Amino acid sequence: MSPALRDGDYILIKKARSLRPGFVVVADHPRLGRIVKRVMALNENGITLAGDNPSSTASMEIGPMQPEQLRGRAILAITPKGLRRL
Amino acid sequence: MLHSLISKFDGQLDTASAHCDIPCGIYDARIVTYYAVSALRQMDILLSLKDKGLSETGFAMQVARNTAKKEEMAEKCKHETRVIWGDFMKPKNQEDMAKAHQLAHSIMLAGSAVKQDLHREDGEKLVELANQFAEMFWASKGVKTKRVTTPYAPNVEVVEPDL
Repeated sequence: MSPALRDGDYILIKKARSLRPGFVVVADHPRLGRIVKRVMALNENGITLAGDNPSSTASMEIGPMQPEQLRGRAILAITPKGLRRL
Repeated sequence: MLHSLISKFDGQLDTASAHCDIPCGIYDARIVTYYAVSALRQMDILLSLKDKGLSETGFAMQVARNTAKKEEMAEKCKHETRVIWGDFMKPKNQEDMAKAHQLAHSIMLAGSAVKQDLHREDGEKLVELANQFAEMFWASKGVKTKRVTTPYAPNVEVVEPDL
């Protein structure tokens, strides 16, 4: 998720009542475990997630996620340099 | 400040992975050396083609094939360096950090030089930088290394972990 998030950053999440493309979310993926990614699209198949970094795991590989798999929306990054809204 | 405060409770917090690749924890600097040596081997093959008595067409085809492979090997050397440098290396201090950055950057430049032209010394330099990178990598894991000569062409020294 670099440059938005870097290894070792902490994030504060809250329950996501509604989702929009661009939101950073934490999700429980059946194969990849707990991941933090950005919402790219919402459609009838589910939620498409992707990392910010060009080398991120491809969206196709992540596959569509369902709302119940989402732990929440990240709203704040707590980094060694300070706080940043997401 | 808040970050360092929270880090004291790190063990009680959940972790979410944003790793670029699927995290497997398997990193090995030998692959960097492997591709550097392969690029050098392609250079040697290219430099020897003139003496092979090939037809004009055969020569052109061989040059095309080995040039493509040379560039692929050099690019893979750069790629694997970036993966280890970016995803694995966490230098302990500022001095180590500067050294790691400098070395990774030097490999980027040497790898590009190998792709762009056909000077054997560029290939040799890439192998030596890959060796230094491997030494740094294994040192960070507390593993001793040794230098051995490859039992195949181009018979150059490579760094191996003393496992």
